[in-house]
Amino acid sequence: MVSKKIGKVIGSNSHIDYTCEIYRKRDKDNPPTPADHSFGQFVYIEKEIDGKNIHLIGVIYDSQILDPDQGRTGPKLAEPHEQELFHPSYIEEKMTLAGIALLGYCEVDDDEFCSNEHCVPPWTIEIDDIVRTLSDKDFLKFHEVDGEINLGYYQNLMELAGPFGTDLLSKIIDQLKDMKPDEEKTLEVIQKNIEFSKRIKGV
Amino acid sequence: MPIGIVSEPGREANEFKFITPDDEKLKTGEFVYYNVSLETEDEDSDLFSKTHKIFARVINRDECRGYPDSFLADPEVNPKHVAKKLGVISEDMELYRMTAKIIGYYDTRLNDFTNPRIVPKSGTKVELAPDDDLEKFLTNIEDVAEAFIGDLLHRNAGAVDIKLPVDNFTSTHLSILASTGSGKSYTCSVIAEELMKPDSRAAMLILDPHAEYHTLKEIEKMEEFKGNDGYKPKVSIWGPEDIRIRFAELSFREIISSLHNPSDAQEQRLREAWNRIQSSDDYGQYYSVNDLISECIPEDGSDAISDALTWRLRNAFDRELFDHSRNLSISELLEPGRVSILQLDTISAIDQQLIVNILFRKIYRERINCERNRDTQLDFPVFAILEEGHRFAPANGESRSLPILRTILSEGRKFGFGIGVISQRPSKIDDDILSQCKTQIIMQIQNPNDQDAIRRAVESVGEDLLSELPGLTPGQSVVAGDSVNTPFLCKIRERHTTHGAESLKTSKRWRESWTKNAQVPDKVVDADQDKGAEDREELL
Repeated sequence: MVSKKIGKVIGSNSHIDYTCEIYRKRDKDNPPTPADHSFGQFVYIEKEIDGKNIHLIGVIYDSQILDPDQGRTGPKLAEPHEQELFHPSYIEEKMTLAGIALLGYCEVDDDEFCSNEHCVPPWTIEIDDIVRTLSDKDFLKFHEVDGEINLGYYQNLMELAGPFGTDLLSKIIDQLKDMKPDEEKTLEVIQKNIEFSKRIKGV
Repeated sequence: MPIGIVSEPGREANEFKFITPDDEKLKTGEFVYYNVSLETEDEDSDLFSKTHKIFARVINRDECRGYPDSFLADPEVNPKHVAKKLGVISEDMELYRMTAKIIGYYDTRLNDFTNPRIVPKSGTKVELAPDDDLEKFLTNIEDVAEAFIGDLLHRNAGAVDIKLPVDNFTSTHLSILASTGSGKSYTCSVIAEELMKPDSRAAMLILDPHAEYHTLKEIEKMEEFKGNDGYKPKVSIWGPEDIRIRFAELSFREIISSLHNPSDAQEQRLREAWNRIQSSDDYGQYYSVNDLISECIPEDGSDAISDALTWRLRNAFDRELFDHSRNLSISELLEPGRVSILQLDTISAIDQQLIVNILFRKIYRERINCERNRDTQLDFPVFAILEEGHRFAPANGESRSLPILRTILSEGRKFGFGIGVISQRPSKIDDDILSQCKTQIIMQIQNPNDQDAIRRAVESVGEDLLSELPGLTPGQSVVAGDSVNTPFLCKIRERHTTHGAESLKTSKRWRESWTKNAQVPDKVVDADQDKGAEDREELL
C-alpha cells in the first residue's frame, strides 16, 4: 500500500492523542476510501525539525462521525435540497473524525527511515498538519529494531485506546505475524496474553 | 566489585537482606562481606578505628523482579524475547533479594570469627568474599598438620582449598553421615589418605564391615605419600580369618561387658573364678572359655548361678573369634604411619560388636596407661574409623560395643583416642555418640528422620545448610563443627587411590554370567561328541 493523504489535524486531547478530520469527496480529487482510515490504520504526519525530516507515526484507534442536523429543532429557512445553496458552511460540518494515537517517530532521509523510536515524541503537531497513511514497507520498518519486531509503544497504546486497546494491538500483531513469519511464535505469546487479559479475566 | 546493596535488616537479629541483579555468582551457602569501621584496641590499649570485613553466608534467595508467568506460555519462546518485543530492557531484568547471616570478622588474635553484632545499613555495598580470605579463615590450620579434603562448593575448582586441622578432628571425633551412594566411604578414604601423608603419619584403624577399603593398599607405592626422611606408609589388611582374640587376653571388665545381662551374683562368681585363674600357675597366658566355666562351677557340682554363667559365657565366647592361643595384638595393629583395616564382612553383627568392645577397651586402657605414665603398648594417639556406626552404637542401646563407645566418645579426647563414626542412618545412632563427634561431614540425606537426628546432634549447622542436604549430589558435603570456624559446603576431592566401594554393575554381571554358562556343554553329551572321541578309533 502506498502513502495517501487522508485528512488534517483539527485538535488534540493530549500530547499523544490527536483528532483528524477525514477528507470528504469534495475536498480533493482522490478522497480517502473507508479502508484508508479504518481502525488500526497506521498514519504519519511529516514535520521538519532542526533541518531534519521527521515522520511522527500514529495509529487510528477511534472514530467519530458528526451530523449537526441531527437533534437540531426549529424552523428551517430552506428546503433540504436548497440548503447547500443558502448554508454551505452548515453542510460542511458533516464530517468523519479519526482519533490518532502517536506511537513514536522516525527520522527520514531520501524517503527512507534511518532511525525509529517508540516513545512519546517531544514535538507537538499543529492544526491543519496533513495526515497520511503509512505504507506497508514503512509500517514494518517502524516496528523493526535491530532487525527484530518491537512493540515498545505497547503500554502507552493500551492506556490511550482504552476498551479498544486489545483489539487494536491484536490487529497490529496479526499484520506483523504475516510480515515476519519467523517471529510468529513470540508475537503469538504476546497476542494470547493480551486476548487472555481481556476475554478470560473479564469473565 | 560490589555484587549487591543492602536493602533492609533480616528477620533474625544477625541477618540482613540485600538486592543483587546477578544470581550467577550468588547461591545459597556462598560467602559475601561488607565493610564496617570498628573501634579497635592496639597493643598499647589505645583505641583506633579500623575497617573490618564482616563476612556473611547467603542463606536464602527470593526473586523480587522477574518475567511474568504469561511470558513463559510457550516453552519454545524465550521470555527474554517477549520482553524485548514489548520494549522492556530484558538484560539484567531479574532482581534477587538475598538473605545473609552474619558470621563476623576474622579476629587474628582468636583465630576465629567475631560477630560485632552490627547489621549493615541500607545502601551498604556487599561484595563476594575473596577466595584467599576464605581459604585462610574457614578453617584454622596454623601450626598443625592439615588434611586437604576438597574445595569450597560454588567456587571454581581449586580456588578455595578446604584443609581440616588433623589434630582437632582426630582427637575430638568425627562423623561422616550420608545416605548410601553419596560418598561416605569415599570421603573416609580421602581422610585416611591425608592421615597417612608424611605430615601426619597417623596410627589408624578402620573397621570395615563391607571390605571396601582394601584399595588404600595402593598408597604404599605412591610417591606423594613418601617422606624425605624415608617415611613410607604401611597398610595392613586383616581378613575375617585373621581376626582372632586370645581368650586369655581379655580383662575381667571386657568379659563381663560381653555377657548378656549378668546378675550381681553371677558377676561375683565370675570374678572369683577369673581371680583364681589369674593367680594360678596352671593356666599362664593360654586358657580357654571352658577353663573359666570350669572355675565357675562349685566343687560340689553345678548350681543355678554356674548354669546361667555357663550359658552366658558360651553364648558370648564359644565361637571362632575367640581362640585359645592366636591373638590379634594391638601392638601389631597400631603404629604411627600404619593404617590397619579389619575386614569384618563375614563376621556376624554380634561378633563385630564384641570385637569393637574388646579391641576398643584394650586400646582405651593402653591410652589411659600412657597418659598416666604407666607401662603401655600404645605411646601414641590412635584414630579409629567405625563404618556402619549405627550397628555398633544403635539408638535402641542393644549393642555390646555401645558402653565403651560412649566412654571413648565422651572422654577419649583426653587420652588421645579419636573415633570417626560413619553411618547412613543417623537416626539409628545413639544421640550421645552422635553429639560427641565434634566435627561433622554431612552429605546427601533425604530421610526426614535422619535429618531430624542431625538437627538434634549438630547444633552448629543452621537450618539453611540442613535444607541443602536432600539436594546435595555425591561428593558434595556440609562441613561443620569444631574443626571449622563456620559451617560451609564442600566438594570432596578426588581420591589418590581407586575407589573400592562402587555399586555392582548388576545387569553386566548377569550378562557375563549367562554367556559363561551358555559356553559350558551340557552334562550329558553324545558319545561321538565327547572330549577325545576322535582318538578312540586309533590303536593303542
